[in-house]
Amino acid sequence: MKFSYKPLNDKVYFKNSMRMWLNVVFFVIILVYVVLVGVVAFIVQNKGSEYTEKALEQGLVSSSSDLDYKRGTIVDTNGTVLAESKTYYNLVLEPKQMYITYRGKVEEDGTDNRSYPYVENTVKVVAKITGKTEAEILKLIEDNKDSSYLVLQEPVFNEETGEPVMVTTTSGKVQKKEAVRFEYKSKAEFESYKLSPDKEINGVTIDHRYVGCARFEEHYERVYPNGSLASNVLGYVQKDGQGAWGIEESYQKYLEGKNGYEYSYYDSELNAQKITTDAVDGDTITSTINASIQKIVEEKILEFDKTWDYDNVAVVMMDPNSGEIIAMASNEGFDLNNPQDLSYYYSPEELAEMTDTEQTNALYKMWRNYCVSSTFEPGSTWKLVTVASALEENVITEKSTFNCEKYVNVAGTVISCSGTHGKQDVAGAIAHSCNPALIQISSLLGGEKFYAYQEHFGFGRKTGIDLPGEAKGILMDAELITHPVELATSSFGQSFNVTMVQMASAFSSIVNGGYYYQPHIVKKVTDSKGITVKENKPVVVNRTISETTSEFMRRAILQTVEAGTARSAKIEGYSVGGKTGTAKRGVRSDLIYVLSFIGCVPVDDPQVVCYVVVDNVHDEEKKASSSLAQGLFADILKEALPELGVYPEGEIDYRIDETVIEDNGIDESGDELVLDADGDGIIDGTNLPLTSENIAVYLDKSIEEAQNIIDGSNGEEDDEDSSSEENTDSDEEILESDEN
Amino acid sequence: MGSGGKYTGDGFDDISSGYKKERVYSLGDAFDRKKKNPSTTSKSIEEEKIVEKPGKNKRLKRSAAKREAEERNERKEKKIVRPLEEVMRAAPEKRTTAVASDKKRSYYDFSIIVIVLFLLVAGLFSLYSVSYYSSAKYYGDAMFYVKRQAIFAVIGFALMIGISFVPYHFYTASIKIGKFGTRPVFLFYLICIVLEMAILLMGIAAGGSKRWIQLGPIKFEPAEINKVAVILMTALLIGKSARNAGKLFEFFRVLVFVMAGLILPIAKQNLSSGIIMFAIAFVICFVGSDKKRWWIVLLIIGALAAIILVKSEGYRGDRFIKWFEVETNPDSYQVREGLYAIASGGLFGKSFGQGTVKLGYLVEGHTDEIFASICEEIGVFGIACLLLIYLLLIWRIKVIADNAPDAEGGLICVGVMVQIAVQVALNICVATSVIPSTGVTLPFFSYGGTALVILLVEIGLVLSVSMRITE
Repeated sequence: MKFSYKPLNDKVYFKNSMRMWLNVVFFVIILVYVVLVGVVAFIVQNKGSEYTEKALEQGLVSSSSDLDYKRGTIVDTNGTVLAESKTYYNLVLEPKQMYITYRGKVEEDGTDNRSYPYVENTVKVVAKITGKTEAEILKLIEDNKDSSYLVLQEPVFNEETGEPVMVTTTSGKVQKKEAVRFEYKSKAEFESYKLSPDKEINGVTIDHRYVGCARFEEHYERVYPNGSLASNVLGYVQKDGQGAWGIEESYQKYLEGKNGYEYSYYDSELNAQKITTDAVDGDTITSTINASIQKIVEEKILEFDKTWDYDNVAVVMMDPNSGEIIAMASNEGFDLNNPQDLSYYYSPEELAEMTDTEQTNALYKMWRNYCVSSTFEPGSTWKLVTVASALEENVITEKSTFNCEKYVNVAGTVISCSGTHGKQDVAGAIAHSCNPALIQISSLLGGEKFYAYQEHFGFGRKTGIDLPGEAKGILMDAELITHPVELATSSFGQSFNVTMVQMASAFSSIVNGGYYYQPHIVKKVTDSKGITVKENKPVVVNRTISETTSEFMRRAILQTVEAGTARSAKIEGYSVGGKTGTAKRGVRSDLIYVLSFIGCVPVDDPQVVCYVVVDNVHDEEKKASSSLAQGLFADILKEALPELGVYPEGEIDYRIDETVIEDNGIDESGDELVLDADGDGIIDGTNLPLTSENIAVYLDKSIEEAQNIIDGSNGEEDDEDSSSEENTDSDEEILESDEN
Repeated sequence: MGSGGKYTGDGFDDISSGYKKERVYSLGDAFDRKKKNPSTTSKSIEEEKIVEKPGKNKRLKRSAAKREAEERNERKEKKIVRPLEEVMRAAPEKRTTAVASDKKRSYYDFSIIVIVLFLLVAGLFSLYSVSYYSSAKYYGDAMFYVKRQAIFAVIGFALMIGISFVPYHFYTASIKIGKFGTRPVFLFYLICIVLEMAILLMGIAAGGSKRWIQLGPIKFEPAEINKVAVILMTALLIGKSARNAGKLFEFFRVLVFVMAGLILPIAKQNLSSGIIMFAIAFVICFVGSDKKRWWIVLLIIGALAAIILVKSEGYRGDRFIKWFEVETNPDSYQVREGLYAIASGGLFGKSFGQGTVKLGYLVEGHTDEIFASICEEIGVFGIACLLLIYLLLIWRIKVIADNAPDAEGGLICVGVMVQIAVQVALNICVATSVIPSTGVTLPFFSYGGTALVILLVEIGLVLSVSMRITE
């Protein structure tokens, strides 16, 4: 056999025209592919959520909400639960799966002889557990035959009117429905029907093999057992699981866990298949807050609230030896279980009139934590810092004396005091809260050092407390504070802003021997197995003053309470040390006072520091009286101290310095005289021409004395820059003095 | 144009080892040849008359002259007969000598092999990821589908390499066995006709239509084999007769031999395969001919035939209804599940093995609907990358076609290229519900032995063409 081969008889080349058309084909292919990628992207973009939802409905459960994690618990220092997540169950029915299994068949003549064992048995059990009738459940299942994910819902009714609540959806107005919540015992009961073969309902034996295609889905709900207790400290949890405000926000990453996944599906032989990844629960937060103390504080604030009308009241209680916050409260708490509710502060009519922005602002005002987020001028409580700084710098000694003649002329500005204190030592100056003495001390210290000590005591920056929204406060610029008037007003706590936490921490360091502890509100974080994940041990971030200075300061504030301006803060049987403050803000014609008191107990070895601030009391008589703050301080501590294990130590008057007691120059309201720089200004808003007669009448002095004051103010060429006060809340030329 | 062609005068040499051109892209060879072989026949003058009409511009005259020159040379090379063994031997021998002399180095496109290997491996991995559940469930072996597919991949790959060394002219050259003379492609054509009849008599139904044939232990789809026949036949009919480019006679030859003989019998059972084969034949004709008008007619005929075929079978009409009601119709279940899978994949997918739609929902998750399963796991980004790799393969085949030594080889490449491109596009269109549901496999990814082996055989043909390219 012979093979032969005849190759192509014609030679035809792949011509340029063919290449050209092939290129066209190729580009068409590219175009089509690009469009196809676009189509896929379009499906993902536009139908993603819709189709994923549908996939869920048909029984393929892969939702992240399926196995919710349990958010961590927040407990107080004694283990009392402040916030926890409670389990509840939703009943999920799977009608589609119930109808897949049947007995009997459809006869040829069309009669349907099928019976569905899952439907028969499960409906009975579900009806019993939910308390509904079998017919109701059966109808629900029959109406939703194609669904694999049917949550048992109930219509919502308005609590007051009893009318059904309507919501508008794409298909018009429908009655609002909410998933029915079940307790664990419902779930357990259901499981028992699945497991034990001989149970009966209404005399009918349930076939346990066909109790199924229904399950109790676990969910959690954030519960605050104490209602509004420590609301500003705790914060609440939003619907998306994110904490808002307070510990819930700042410890979000510990409190939140990780969702578990459950893919459950039915293969074509209807075997239920399940792949489960367990959820990881959140960590437990142990707060430094003492719930019982917090409760006392909030009760006392409430009592105070009933007596007085004011803008704000806030209390911080702190352990000076560790920086732990024991209690922190303001009058603006809210119901943690219902954080959007403004009804406590506004009447329904007021609420109805409010715009959305106003409502939002009101909510924010209610949610924010006054103690860390608000700043104010500290007033005379600051004098402790000025004195401690000066002692530390050795510009004064404990024995230094200062003279007070009620008025002092600082670079052309007359600043008055609450009384004529005469010659007094440092402790006396504190006890009398004497402005001229402090002005002298600060001028000895000098502006630069004064500013350095402000920073040294942690002012002008965040303390780093583990709460969200902390303010820094506003300090006067380092250059400005060297100006005599600014330095003078700063020396008694005006013209710069601080937060309560800053003040409490600085005061703690003054009384505890000079150790500035990092203030904190969370003691430790433990995971669900009890292993400590994070522990906030007391951290000394700074040494502020020496032990000797601290010891002197403690003596001075004890005298202040025992015999000075802070006598209202006395607590029977305890050695209380503290300092009052009456800071002014606002314009001259409409003065607003921030009353405050900061103190510690017992003064020899302080265990508790408590700082009370009352902002703007709407009472002409008492608006400048720090005794309100002192009273609140005393009320709170009287009850709180035994709770904290600090007991009365008996009579303590023996240590009082006699010289201080003699002086009775305590004048709570305090006179003020303000002259403007060129000497023809106004007196205290009365618009009187500045004559010696007017001053004499106003201040109850002789004409000569008045003339001396005028001479004093005119005698110095003032270089005062009126803009220098811009940093403060005040628009007065000068303001000072104060109190007690 | 017009420079650089060196013609040896040995027609056979041209065929077996490529002609000795310095540049591949050039029509200059043909032009040069005119000078060397000035003899013209009366027939060519007739041709010229037809082509050249009064009032045509200079450019047309030139192209007519060029064509004339080409055809003259083509005619000159008639009647050369060589023993088969010599032909079979010729290619490798020539190649080695070419390398040795450093003048005739032939080309072998390794990049295609790399891309094909990548797609094969990626295909097997994806197949495992989307089929382990159903294979474990129905066959008790999670690797069941993967193992079988791997065997076919190995067989196909070996065939691909083997075929790449067979000169593609072998299939269309006439071979004399004793007294009988025929071309292998005609024998192949007859086999296809027999299989088409067999499928009508003893076909195994699947998915509403008979598509399979059982021969002893082997079960296969004749439709896939027909695709190779369509490529070879159309390339032969068009590639060898550029003289009649786009003429009525050619149109009828294609209509009778390819459309009626190979495509219609399959399309009656399996419309999607019919459409793919029609697309292959049409693009080969369209690209390979100078005049396009009859191919436009062919396209219209094809469209009409498709409409008649849809109407003739009830289940095809149903598919249109299912397509319109894809979100609600209970019978659109498969496509809808596919859409859910695509949508839930997102931008970057759920990552390998994490898809859920294959868990009992997508029955054809490893075959025709594999795209949806893959999309769920690799996301839009992954799909874009995958299409880029397909485009890379298509582009390489196009480059080989561009450089093919002759029209026949080039058109074979065009056929293979169109088949891959159309199958990928149709498969995605079905999965995304752009067109009604129809069974098209995704090349290299869908489970299916015949389709994979045939695909690799076709790549082998392309490689065979690439080997004829010389520098």
